Amino acid sequence: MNPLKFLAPARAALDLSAFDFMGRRKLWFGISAALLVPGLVAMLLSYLWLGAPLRLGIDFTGGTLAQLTFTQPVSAVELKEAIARRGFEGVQVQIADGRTALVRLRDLDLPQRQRLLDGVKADVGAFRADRFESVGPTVGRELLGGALGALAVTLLGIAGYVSLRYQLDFALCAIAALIHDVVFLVGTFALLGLTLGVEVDALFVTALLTVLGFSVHDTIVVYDRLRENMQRAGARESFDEVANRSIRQTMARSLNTSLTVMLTLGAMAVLGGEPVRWFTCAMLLGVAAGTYSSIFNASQLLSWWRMRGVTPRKA
Amino acid sequence: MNWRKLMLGIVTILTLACGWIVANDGDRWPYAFKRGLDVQGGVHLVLQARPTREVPTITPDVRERAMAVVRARVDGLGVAEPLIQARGTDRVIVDLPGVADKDEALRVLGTTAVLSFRAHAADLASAPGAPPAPPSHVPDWVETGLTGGHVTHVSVEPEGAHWAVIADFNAEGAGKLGEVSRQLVGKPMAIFLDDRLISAPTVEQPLDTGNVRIFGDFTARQAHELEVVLEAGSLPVPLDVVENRAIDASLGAEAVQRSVLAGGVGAALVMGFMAAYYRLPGVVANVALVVYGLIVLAVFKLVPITITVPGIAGFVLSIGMAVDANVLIFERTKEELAGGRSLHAAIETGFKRAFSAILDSNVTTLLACGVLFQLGSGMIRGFALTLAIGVVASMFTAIGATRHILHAALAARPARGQALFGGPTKEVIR
Repeated sequence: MNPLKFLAPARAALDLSAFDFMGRRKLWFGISAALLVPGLVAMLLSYLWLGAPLRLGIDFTGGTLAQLTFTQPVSAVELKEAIARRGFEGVQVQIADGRTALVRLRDLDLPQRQRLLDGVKADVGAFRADRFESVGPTVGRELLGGALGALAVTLLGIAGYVSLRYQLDFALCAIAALIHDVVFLVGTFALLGLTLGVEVDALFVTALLTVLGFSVHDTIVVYDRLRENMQRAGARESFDEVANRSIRQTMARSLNTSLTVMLTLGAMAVLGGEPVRWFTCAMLLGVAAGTYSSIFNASQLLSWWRMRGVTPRKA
Repeated sequence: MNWRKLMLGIVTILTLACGWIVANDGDRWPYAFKRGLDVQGGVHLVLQARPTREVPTITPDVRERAMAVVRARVDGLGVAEPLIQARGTDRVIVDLPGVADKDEALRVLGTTAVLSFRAHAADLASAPGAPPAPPSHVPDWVETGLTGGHVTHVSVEPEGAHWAVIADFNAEGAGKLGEVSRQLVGKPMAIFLDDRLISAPTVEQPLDTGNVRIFGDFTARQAHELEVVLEAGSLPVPLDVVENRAIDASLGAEAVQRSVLAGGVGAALVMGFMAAYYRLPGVVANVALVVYGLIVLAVFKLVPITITVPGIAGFVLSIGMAVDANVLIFERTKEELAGGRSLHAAIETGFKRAFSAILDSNVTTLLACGVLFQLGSGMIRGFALTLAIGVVASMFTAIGATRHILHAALAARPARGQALFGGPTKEVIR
């Protein structure tokens, strides 16, 4: 007795064994555009307002971020004044839940840190410093440079790997699908940065790179089968027909793998610890985007590229 | 057949051993998991050496000497497992997990603590025994050449309501001390700490004992910190704190609890799905997943890998990815069965064919982990490492454990064939 039988009507409607993945490519590209455009707009707005396409956290900009949990409820104004009184300007205070305050200001050296904490204790009350992080501007800039460098190296490494295993046009389309995923993830977080004030830190870059590694492997699964089928098919079948078949054959594997990964990521995003909440959300979104692009973009791009006016070559 | 039973036996014993390792914490082997800074709380500092007039370039030797001083100071703090590393050409990273008094640690590590003994230029020039130079409006202390570098040992003593610090000098320092104090009898000698005047007592008689008592109204804590810092020796160059992070233990404990819960729920969901979709082979994959989990956790404990909160996330993620290898094998096996092979042959071929594809697909994840390891700080490295170990281990358990468990399970009910693998019917490969 297959417990998944209740899904049968849905499965019949989306009869996967005859689904036309290639023919409906305009629809898929349209969906991609719909997903990417808001993100791109958000990135542009973010750049104009904040000076960067994402809301960058102190890891990249430098500065101080402190989370203080007081024994009594405390007001933002009170805390801000206490800090300003000690000679610190440009302080931002957010009260999370009555007692927990998030304080942001420029980077501080150790004596300054002590002065600030002593001042708050004297003027506002006793607290526990859950976290107190201060990053100098040079370190921040270096980390940002390092992050961008890592992204470039990973993309190049992947491009190199795919061109080694397959041909150049396969590699280019795989990278295009990957860039689609990167833009989606970055755009979404630009949007979150503008609306919810979500800041991007070193962990976000980690999520991005992990998603890249995972997403391209999903694409490779399809390409691997595509190449195998192209070798067997001969001249009588069009590329689109071979591609359709390849996608149908690998669909189960792609979807199942993505599903299991998303189940674990979903559990972490919902139930997991606070420090990694956005980190796991980013990976979840990235994996979803990666699966979508592997099935609905990668081969379609390849088909479009090949039929662009160039005579179709054998794999 | 006997060989298969042997392999199954080995897998079982290995699993039980790993389970035992994971379950047993204590002061003796296999100890406890090594917990990172964000889990047990602590302090993370990045110190950057600043070139001075005397030391214009930070050579590896200069940095090494600075690190030695930092290490000595950290020893004075009594932290259980400090981590002091060099980074780049001029940086030192200090991690102090579980340090009890974060503020003290920051104070001790953050000060340059250059001790110097100075005098008025005029007093040094005038004859010994001459009257002291008149006080001037402009501070005109100059170095006498006697510094903290000559100090070998420091101790503290109560002095009335406060504490005094006693500095013992080495041979060269003692000689110099005698010489300078003889020159300055009746005149003031100033003691500076980091360009801050501590005290400037008048020298009553030549100091031939080779030690100096420093009074500065120090509290017990200040005297102790000074003792730690001066004992460690003076830094060859000042170290600026370019990054400092202090995390409280409570934050980490909660995050770990939640992550473990989430991991458990995630694993349960994955196992539920596998059993529902693939039926018996799915259950086999779940057993293999448990084997995988125990092996990986045992590896984390034994190496040891430092557990951070993102590291736990990496492990949970790898659980989701570990199943992928099994999914691939099952799908391939289904195809082989559809193509007409016998059950056991289909399984073997499925495993063989799947291996290169599994390897292929994990290479890109490992590439990303490699890049992250190079780029990242402790937490990011923790994630990259746990994910990479998880990915590699999943390849082995899929090929090793799953295969043998599957064969054993099917040996019990041999003739089920394709229907056993469940899932929707697939297109037959032409």
